[in-house]
Amino acid sequence: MNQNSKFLVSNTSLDNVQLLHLHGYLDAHTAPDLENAISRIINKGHSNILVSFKELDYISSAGLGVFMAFIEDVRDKGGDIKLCNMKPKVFSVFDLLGFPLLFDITEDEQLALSKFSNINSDK
Amino acid sequence: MINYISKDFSGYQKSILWIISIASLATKATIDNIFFLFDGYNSIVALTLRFIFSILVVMPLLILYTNYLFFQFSSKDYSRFEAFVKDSYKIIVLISIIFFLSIFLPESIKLGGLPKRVIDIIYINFLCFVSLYLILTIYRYLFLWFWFHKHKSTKLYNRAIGIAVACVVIFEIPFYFYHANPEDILYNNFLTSIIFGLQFTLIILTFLQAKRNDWIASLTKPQKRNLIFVSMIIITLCIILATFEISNSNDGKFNNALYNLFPIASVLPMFSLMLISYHIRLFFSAIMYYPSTKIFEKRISEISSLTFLNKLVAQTIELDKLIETVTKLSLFSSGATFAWNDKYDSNNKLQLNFIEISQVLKISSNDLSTLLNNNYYSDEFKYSSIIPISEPLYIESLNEYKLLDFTFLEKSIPVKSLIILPLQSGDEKIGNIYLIHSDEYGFDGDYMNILSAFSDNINIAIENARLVQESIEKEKYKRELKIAHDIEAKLIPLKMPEIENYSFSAFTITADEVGGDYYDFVHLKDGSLCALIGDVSGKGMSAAFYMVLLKGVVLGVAKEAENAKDLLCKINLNLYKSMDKQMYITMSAIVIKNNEGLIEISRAGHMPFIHKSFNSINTITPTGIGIGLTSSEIFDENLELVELQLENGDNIIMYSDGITELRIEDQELNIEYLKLILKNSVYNSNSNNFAKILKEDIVKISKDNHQHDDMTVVSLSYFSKELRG
Repeated sequence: MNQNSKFLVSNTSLDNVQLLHLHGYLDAHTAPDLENAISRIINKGHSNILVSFKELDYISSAGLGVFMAFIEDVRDKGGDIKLCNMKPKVFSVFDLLGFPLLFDITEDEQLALSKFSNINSDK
Repeated sequence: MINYISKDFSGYQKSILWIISIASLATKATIDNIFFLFDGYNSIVALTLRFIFSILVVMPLLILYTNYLFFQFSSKDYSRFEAFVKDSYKIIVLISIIFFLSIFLPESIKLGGLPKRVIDIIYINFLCFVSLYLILTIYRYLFLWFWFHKHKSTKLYNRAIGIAVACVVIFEIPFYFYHANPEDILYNNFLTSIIFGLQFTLIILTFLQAKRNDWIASLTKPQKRNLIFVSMIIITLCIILATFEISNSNDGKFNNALYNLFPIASVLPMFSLMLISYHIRLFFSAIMYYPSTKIFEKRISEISSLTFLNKLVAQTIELDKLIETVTKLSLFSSGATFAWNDKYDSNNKLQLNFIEISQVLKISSNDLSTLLNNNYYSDEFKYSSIIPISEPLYIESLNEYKLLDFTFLEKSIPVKSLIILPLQSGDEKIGNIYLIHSDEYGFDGDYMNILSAFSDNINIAIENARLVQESIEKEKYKRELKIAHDIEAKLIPLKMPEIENYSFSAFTITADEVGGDYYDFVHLKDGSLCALIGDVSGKGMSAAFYMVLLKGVVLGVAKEAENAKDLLCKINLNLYKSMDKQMYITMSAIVIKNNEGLIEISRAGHMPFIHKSFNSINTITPTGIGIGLTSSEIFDENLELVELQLENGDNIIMYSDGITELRIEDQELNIEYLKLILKNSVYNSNSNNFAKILKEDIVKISKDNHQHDDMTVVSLSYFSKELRG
């Protein structure tokens, strides 16, 4: 295992939005950590989740699957999972798979946050 | 003679040696008679002949015995005490025969004279022959015992004894001829003093040689008694025999016969003295070791049960059988009245597992286990707090130790003292062995020390058995995987389709036994050929299952599909609902539209196509979402179908991300590497070349680096015949 293999996920609560920061290397071994983190948030009743990929160096197919697992549930509740701040290499993985068509992927964290608040204010 | 010694004798050869010996004896007796008749009994010629023939009698017997010594007996055989005692009795019998015969010794001989009748000569010859046989038996007996209980100076002592024996014989020869009268031979002679000196040395040497007698310690009590008895008889008999010969009393004329009539037999006193010396040592050793026999036997039984256990460790695979044997073994080595073991069952509850009772008990093991189950193991197991976790527990007296209650057994067996021996597999406790004694302080305190070692060994054995069991299961799982691997390999086409102006090449390498990568060639509705590549997310068994599912769906929908896009859409339609949310499949497809280089491509989330033309290498990435990620509406809407006109010599490559994610010293091989290989591949009529070069490269790289994911490549090349021609 190289150093990259260390994966960390940290959670910040903003009003209405739960911000998840991913660090390091997300693959089949570390995907359960992310899965736990997201399901904890959802179990608490939150449904607006923003995932920041700023510190994420690598993502594998299993890591992508995690988002797919929750997106339907979250959207059914009227929330969303938005992704932001991806490094070009990470983005290309999402891009190839067609994620930009399914998820809201923005470059900027603030932009994503404002999108959340727009939705909320619409309501 | 060397030849004879160095090989084993057949019965035929043995009888020849016996015949020589007995014939020589007969000849000697005849010659004696002839000289007797002509009154030349004491002449030098008669003496010489007697000497020669007595050697002729001895030599074949000696050869027989020496042979016997080295070939008939293995050291294992002779070191057995029974063989030793058997030989001792043989010596006793032989000495007794000599005594018996010497009672009827002719008067003339007894008085120190010459034989008066022919019958006397025959009689004396026979007596001498028996004496010789006795000498040889003693010789062999001592020699073998020394040989098989060697110590570091055995060789030296044996040599010294051999030289002393030879000296005695040589010194006796000259004065034998000078003095026909044994009275003169034995006394008043300088040579006699030398012989006595030598004989004394021999006795000392034999005594020293016998110092290795610790084997006596390991004998059982009856064996030791037997040894003491035998030694006593041998010592007594030999002392009588020796005085018989050496003293000059009126009755002691036996030696006359030996000296006069059978020269070689004259070493008999010497051998009997050696025997005395040896047996005195044995006798005292046996008496000294006698009281320690019991403790020694006990230690031996403990050690042998430990040894047995070590053998079990190596052999036993079944855990229950192992514990059962261990329980029996503890019962046997501890002297307990009965023993049983319990084991945690699947509900983590202690259950009586096996019971073993010694034969003195009247109760049957069935009744006993019923009693235990109904009382000790009934309902809640209230003793769990006092049952030891890892170290054996010895309760010397249950009368004083009130925590455990075995009064329910009172009617059948009094339970007075108890040992509980915990069984462990690694750190996990799996049960206990109970050893019950019907007396207070029933177990030897020393036994606990042995038991601690014993308990460690048992736990090693248990752990071993468990590991073996595990590895068997692992092996089984491996076989199943191998089968899965073989089945999966059959799902992937080995033969490339043949189509005019195009050629295909492909390979797949899985990271584990089974993988989630897939490629295939199918025909669509209009009959056009479609090459497919697919990569199920994740790897290993779960990926493999989806890959099999995918293959089924592809086969099912291909005939209905209009084009590459339609095929992928139909696959998504079929799979979206049935797939796990987290799983998805990325796919690409190439459909050959005509044989002039027109193809269409479509991509569902898969890696980009690489297009190599005469002077450039490009990637083509039509839009498309991975299969299983979204519903048909969104999927179909976003899937792009691209038509492409290939030029002569162009290549189109589809590959899975396992290739570009392969790492060389932490550095990912990326698409640039693929492009490089593609660029360097010789411009050639088929794309076989590219796939082949790439595969060789990949195999080489992944041998030194851990392969991360499955790797698959499908390559298509276009070559127009007309242009080529």
